[in-house]
Amino acid sequence: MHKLAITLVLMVSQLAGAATVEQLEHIESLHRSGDYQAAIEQAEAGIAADTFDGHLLLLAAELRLATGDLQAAAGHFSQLVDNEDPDKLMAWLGLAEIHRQRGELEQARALWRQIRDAYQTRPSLSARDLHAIAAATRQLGDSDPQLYKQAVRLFDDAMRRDPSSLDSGIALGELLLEKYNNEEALQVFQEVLSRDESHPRALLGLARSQHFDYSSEAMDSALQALAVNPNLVEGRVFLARLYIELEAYDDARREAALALEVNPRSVEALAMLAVIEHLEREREAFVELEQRALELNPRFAGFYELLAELAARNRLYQDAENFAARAVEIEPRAWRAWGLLGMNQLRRGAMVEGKENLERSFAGDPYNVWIKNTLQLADSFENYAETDRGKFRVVLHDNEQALLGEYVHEIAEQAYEAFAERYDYRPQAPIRVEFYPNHADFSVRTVGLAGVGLLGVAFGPVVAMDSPAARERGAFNWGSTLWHELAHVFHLTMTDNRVPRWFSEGLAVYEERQGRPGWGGDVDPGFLRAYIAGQLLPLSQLNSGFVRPSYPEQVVHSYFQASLVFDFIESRRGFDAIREALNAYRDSSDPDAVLPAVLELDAAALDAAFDEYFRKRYAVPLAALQGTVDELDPGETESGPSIDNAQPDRYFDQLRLGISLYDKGDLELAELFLTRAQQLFPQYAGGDSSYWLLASLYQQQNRPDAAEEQLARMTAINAEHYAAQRQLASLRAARGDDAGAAEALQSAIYIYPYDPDLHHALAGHLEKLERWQAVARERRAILALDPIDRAEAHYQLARAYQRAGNRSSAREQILYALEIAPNYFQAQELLLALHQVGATVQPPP
Amino acid sequence: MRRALSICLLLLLSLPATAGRHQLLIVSGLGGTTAYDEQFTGLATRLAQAARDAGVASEQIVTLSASANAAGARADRDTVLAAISRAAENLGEDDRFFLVMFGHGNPRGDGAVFNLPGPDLTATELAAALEAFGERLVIVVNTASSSGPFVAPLAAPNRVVITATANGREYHATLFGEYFVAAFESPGADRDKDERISMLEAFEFASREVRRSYESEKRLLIEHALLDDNGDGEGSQQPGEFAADGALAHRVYLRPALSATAGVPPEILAMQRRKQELELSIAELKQQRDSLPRRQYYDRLEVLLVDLALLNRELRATGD
Repeated sequence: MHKLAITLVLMVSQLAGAATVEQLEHIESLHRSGDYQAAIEQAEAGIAADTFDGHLLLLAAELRLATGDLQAAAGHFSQLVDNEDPDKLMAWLGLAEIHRQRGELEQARALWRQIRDAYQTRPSLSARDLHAIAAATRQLGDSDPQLYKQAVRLFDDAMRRDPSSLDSGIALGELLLEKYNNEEALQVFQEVLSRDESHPRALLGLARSQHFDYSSEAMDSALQALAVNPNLVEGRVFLARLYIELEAYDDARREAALALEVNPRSVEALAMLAVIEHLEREREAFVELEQRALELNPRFAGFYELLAELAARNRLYQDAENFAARAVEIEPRAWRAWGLLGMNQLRRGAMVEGKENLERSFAGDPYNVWIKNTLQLADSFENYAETDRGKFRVVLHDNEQALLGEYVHEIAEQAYEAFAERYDYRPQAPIRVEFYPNHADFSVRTVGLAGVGLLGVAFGPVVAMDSPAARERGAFNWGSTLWHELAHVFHLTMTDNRVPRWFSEGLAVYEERQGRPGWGGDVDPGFLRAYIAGQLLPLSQLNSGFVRPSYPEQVVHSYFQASLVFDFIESRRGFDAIREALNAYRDSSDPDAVLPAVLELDAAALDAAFDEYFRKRYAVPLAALQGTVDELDPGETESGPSIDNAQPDRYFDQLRLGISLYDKGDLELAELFLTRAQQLFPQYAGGDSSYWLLASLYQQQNRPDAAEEQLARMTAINAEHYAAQRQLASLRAARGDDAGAAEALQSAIYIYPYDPDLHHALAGHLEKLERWQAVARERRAILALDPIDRAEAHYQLARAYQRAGNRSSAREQILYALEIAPNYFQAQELLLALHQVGATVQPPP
Repeated sequence: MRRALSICLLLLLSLPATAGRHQLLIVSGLGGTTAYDEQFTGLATRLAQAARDAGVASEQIVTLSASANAAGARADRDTVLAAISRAAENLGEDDRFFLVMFGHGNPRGDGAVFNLPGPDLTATELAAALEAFGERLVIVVNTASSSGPFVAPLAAPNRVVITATANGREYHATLFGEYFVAAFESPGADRDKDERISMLEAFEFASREVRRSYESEKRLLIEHALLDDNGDGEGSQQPGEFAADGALAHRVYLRPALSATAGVPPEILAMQRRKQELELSIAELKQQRDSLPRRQYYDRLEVLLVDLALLNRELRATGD
């Protein structure tokens, strides 16, 4: 309690000859620093010495509550009530809390209502009365969400009535945060901290607020709170949660245990331990904790809510759904649990049930922004078309269905068959694949909020991802992204979602590389410089690169590094070892032991062997990049190397000099240095690599064959460069290589499918190759892009159908063409030709 | 209302082609920068060339430019109004007058202005000048920013008014002019494949390309072109052959109509009449598209289209 508050309390207390200011301040100081036992002893000694001291009783009761001694706490609170103490409402609030902690929710509700009634019946209300009424109102909000608003007002009133009462401010912040209004919650916590900068609960509130915003500062704030009060149970529990999220389970277990030492009845701490046991697949230990928690509080839905939430974070969506279902079973008013149930049902593709449960959640708690966003997204599903074909149910926005549907089905089936053969496993169909043309919608689908920095996500048998419209042209390759996510579908369903993140991500990138030349990312100077700088993690710690990145690029680097592990495994033991590891992850309770067992090497030897593989693989560029860790990238320096001082074995010297000469127009000399740079780092084919520059240089020198070779080599490593694919297609087309041009243009479609010229060009090459089915696909794509010349587009599609032997579709399309342009000569001729054949005209859809 | 418009359209379709002259006044306004000056005069030059290619006589094409570097007469408010006045004096009953403006505009008061050296040209001044044409067919295309407020004052019977923007608030330099000119240079704008670009086709082409350009750059669309040709002063962003606006623009081409039926053999004339009847029947049927069962609609359409195709084949065989 704040010192001013104590003073005010004592003005009344001293009239009755009760505890002195010094006594109360001392006890409060012990309370604040977490020395609960000493505080309890002193408070209860004071109570015994006096006939009746309401303030000491209330302090003692709250201390007993904090340490889980509900019986003693109830005794103290009852005494306050029996003696008609001015703090009777606070005492009722304490008694209600005891009922709540025991799962006696009806009794708790009766008391909360009784406290609320005092708002009408009491002639005057102190700040503490208002605080009690606000807190009771907040608790009753689960039956009437409007009460939350009243609670906010009441906490405000309490703060105004006694500005020194920080407890009401903290409670208000906690309520705002609970109702997802983090912006105001943060302001409230900061306001409290401006008046008492080391208030443990305010620091904890700040930490929670920061956690809400995904800020890494949450850990520091929580630790600050615990530095002031090491026995702050909620602080220990919160810290345990942070550690769980970082997969630092030993640390989390320690924090939860410390919380339980202070308060053995902390079901929240038990829930943290249960999460760890669940994630570590310790079934017996989990059941024991579950029983303990439910014995203490059989209505504590939060136990399962936490399990559901953290199971979902670990991609155990079915488990999350089961836990959420259990939560609503024991407490039907657990609105958050209904939301978790609905969200996880949507993640496994149960769209109708999921939406129903989200609506139920939202009706009970309309403040939950995750649920609100997801429901809004679900409402927009009416603008999406679902098509079932083969193994897939593809969901595309109506605006994109006609254009993307065919490509998506085609590549998805290719991926399925490729993976089925490699993994000797066939996931149950249909696999649901959703594309979102708006990144914010994809983000909401994934985490309930806008702003997630992913391209795609696999929930198991459900994939959601950005459509190419969601990003700038060339920002990503949607074909390889889909391939990547479908690889996850196999890995997750094969292992019951037990595959570690590093393994799953690395293997999916590795699979991209098997899917098409140039997919799956490529090594870049930054990655190798991170290796040289010792920033890349050893194989045994790779998971940390995903969950606890220590530098901004580490997640991206970890993806690529992890993918190399599978090249390494395959080179040593073949692909069978990868399959074997996946099966082992499904069955093992110790994921760290899987790979060493499969490869018959201990973790240290495995790290060393992979490192050796890495060094050999990149020996040439590593040597050429040595000493460049602190150097600037090309273009970032004012004076680059000169011909006199450029080191022949240093990649950046050669590249920068080549660029400089190129910019000056000295193409002949530039070619020499750029070629040397390429020899030093042939694996790098980014937009700022020597390939792209040399291709441009050769085009300027009118050496199309040399330019084509550069672009072919570049796109074989990096298929994501749209301009390179288009230029390669043009060069191939110029020398009559229609198949090669078509191949490059097809690759460009996976980057940016919205350019009608791309489809025109591809259709032209395919026509020359007489691949009429494929021509028809491209012509359909052009129509889907809503061309200005629709008559021409329909006519060309009709031609393709006719040549492909599909006469009825040809006639359908030619009627569309002539409906727009009745005198269109070529279309008329095609109509007459088709009419003579006499096929039945299908009415247009 | 819609029914009445459709009947008007059929009447229009049934009128014989007239052979009036096309007079074209192209104004490139004040650019403010060399780049814009060059852009506007460049567009004017390209449009003039497209008009010549379409058969408009060179002497019927007048270009006025605000740029000091441009060849020809200097554009300011008075020269523009004087040129309009001269055109009105010289225009025959069957002639058509096209005024196309490239430049910048600004909102001013309730209306807008087209920027020229000296006093800007207001929509009201332009409307007053155009009154000299009476009921004769006039086409005004203002591709400037903030050109939307020109629609209401300029709207009149037998007049097509096109603006690059929907209102004065759309005051950023527009893309519409570029694509409007491109429509006459690109075969893709000829939607109905009659080898002529109607004002409606040019408008649709330009509007769509503007939209596509903004979308491809992921920018919010900040110019919405309008077309008014029913004289009500309410421009349409999506006019059409059968929509509130668009019927007249659908029948107005930059390319002058070919005249003369004299000397044409009677059997050819009969075939041309039959062709026109078939085209009319197709147009009538298309108006029933939404009311007929789809199968019935396309079955009937196919019969007409086959007849038309066969007739065209015959006409081609005669060399017409």
